[in-house]
Amino acid sequence: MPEFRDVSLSFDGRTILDHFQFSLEEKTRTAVLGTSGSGKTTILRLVSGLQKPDSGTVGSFSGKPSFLFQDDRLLPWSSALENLTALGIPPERAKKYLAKVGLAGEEDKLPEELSGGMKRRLAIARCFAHGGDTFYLDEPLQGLDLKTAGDVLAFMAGELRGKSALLITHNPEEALTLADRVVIVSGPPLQVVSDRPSADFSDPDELKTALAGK
Amino acid sequence: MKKLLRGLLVMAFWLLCWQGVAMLVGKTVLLPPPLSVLKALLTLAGTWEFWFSAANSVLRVLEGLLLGVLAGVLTAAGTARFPALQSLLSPVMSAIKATPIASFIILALVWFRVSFIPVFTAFLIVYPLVWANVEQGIRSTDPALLEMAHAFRMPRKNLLTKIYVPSIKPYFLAAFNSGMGMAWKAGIAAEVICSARTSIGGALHDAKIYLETENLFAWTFAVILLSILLEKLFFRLAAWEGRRRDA
Repeated sequence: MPEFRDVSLSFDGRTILDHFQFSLEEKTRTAVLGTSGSGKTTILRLVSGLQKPDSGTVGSFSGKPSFLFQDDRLLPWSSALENLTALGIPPERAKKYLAKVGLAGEEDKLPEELSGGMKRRLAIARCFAHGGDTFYLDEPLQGLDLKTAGDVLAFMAGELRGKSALLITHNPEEALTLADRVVIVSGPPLQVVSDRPSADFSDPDELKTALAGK
Repeated sequence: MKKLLRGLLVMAFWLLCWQGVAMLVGKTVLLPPPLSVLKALLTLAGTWEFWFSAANSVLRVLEGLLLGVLAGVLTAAGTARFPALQSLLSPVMSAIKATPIASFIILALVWFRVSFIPVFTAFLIVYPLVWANVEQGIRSTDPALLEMAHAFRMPRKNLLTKIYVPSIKPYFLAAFNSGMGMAWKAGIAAEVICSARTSIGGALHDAKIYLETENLFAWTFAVILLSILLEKLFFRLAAWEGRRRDA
């Protein structure tokens, strides 16, 4: 069961989590919203097992995980296609997913030959071509222009159907399109300010207001 | 074209200087003029001993180089992974680095047969260099990429070939390049000290004994030419390997 029981964590003398309690659900897509520096990425790192807490216990999602890191983390010396196949993704599947995010024809390019937005889409293609039962997504649409962001958002919504996901974002539209549950946090130390189903919000502006008023 | 002309002019200037000094000295035994050295080199190149000696020396140094690379990479993998091994072995590295290479050559004369001494000497030059550089390469592998590989459960083979090898490559090439030059010179020095038969070092030793200064110079030129050739070959190989990987 993915949950935080009495979890504390400090980093560089700063308390990020202080006896934090929180639970997530399988087969649910949860968006965590908050201002940058609130420590929301820490939730993702702990529940995915990338980081250990100082104290308390963190349970994880079941099944195979996939990741979209905030900083892309592409192999700088490998082509776009190789960035996917290096994870063991079959070349045909890799090509299909590159095309899905609009990178058809860019397979042989190195990351340094791609624009910032294209690199982001490459990281997104890698995350979904790898596939899995749980998706950990950190600021997925960061650096994408409005038009591309819309297409990629629709693609991700389709891919996430029926899966577990933890989405870290500060973008209300992204949260409402992709998630069933919206959690607003503040911090550090991290605190849950609001925890509601996304259906509660009639439009992104309402969530934006809730986020501003936290 | 302009660069080539300038290079030729610079060479001509120094050859003239050499000729001038040789004429001032006036003794071929002390400083032979460039033309007699060229004649000696051409005469040598026409003998089978020359090519056999050169091949012998090159192969011995390459053998030491390859052994040093292999041992260096393996030790680096061990010391980067296990800090205790690093603590245990670092005095060995310091000892090898601090000991004059001549001491090793003389010790090797006691321990090994003569033909193995240049191999051993080249090995001792390359081993600590490759070890230190590759270890540094492993340590400076981007932790974010390693975390990504761990998160995605990247196959172990790909972790090695797609993350570690490209990260270590520049460190390794730097070590290999300087190691090759140093191993070559030290290997020849070892051959001179132990007067190895049918080798460049052995020939240098004989030239000194019989005061054949032209031959001494000619062999030295052969060493320099071979060194340049080996370096060029190595860069060709590295570039070819890079292209093959990209293809």
